[in-house]
Amino acid sequence: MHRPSRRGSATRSTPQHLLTRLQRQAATPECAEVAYERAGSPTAARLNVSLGEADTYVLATVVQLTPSMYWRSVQLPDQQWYDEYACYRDGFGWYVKVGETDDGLLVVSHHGPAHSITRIDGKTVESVEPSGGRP
Amino acid sequence: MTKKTIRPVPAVHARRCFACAHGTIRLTNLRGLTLNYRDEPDLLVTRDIEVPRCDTCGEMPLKGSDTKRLSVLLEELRTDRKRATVTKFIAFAESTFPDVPRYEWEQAFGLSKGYLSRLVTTRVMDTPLEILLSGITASPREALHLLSITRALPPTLSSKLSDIARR
Repeated sequence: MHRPSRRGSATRSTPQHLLTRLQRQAATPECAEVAYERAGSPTAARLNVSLGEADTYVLATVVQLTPSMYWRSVQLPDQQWYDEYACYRDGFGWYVKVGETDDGLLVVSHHGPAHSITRIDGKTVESVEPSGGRP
Repeated sequence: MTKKTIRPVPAVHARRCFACAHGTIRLTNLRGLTLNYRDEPDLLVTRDIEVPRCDTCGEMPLKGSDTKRLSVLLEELRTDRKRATVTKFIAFAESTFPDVPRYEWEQAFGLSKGYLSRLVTTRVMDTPLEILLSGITASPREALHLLSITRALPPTLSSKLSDIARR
């Protein structure tokens, strides 16, 4: 299935990367990159931790993902496909966009969901946590 | 899905940005740029550090070694800014309210005795206190009035606030 998203980029409803492969790379930090603006920085602000601790947390989230947490895949301007997941961790809802480029694993996004996300398993990750976490 | 072998992220080379359609990611010196970091907006990078950065949208894909270097630098800059806020507040308080002893300020803020001094040297203050100190330094009358609504101010500070209000 191949359809344009609201932003005009293509989306698919099946994972474009093997999750186990992404997770092996996430477990090896020198094989992984984390985007500062969309993943490292918002995670550091949300958890009030240093950037180093935030990046470790981001990669640990990828390691903890399961296939049932999958939402959809999207093609970004670099023409690569990235898989989007949503999960709860430590009382916070997280939106995770992850993929593999020629340079290895890339975590594009890791922050609170901007809106409620209904995953492939039918469960919804809300944009505001019931636990009342920081925005 | 194509089978590829897992390998370390190679040394940085210029490449198309994944986040925006137009930019190129290349090694960039961040000195002179501002970054939002933790609770600090627009933190000015005052030292040389080269990391991969998009020349259009500013996104930075960081691998382990880059992250460590940037994290250490940002933590230092964040701590410096917080200490500067305390130092500025103490200088302001001592010049504008010379009769108010420091422990009265600490009492008004709900801090233990000597805490303001420790913030200058060893401790890193949290965001709400930083906002409060910045507010008092910038506009003491309004900030102290707001504080007096929430809790009874110590005697000397309370009388000084009354003096300011009468002016």
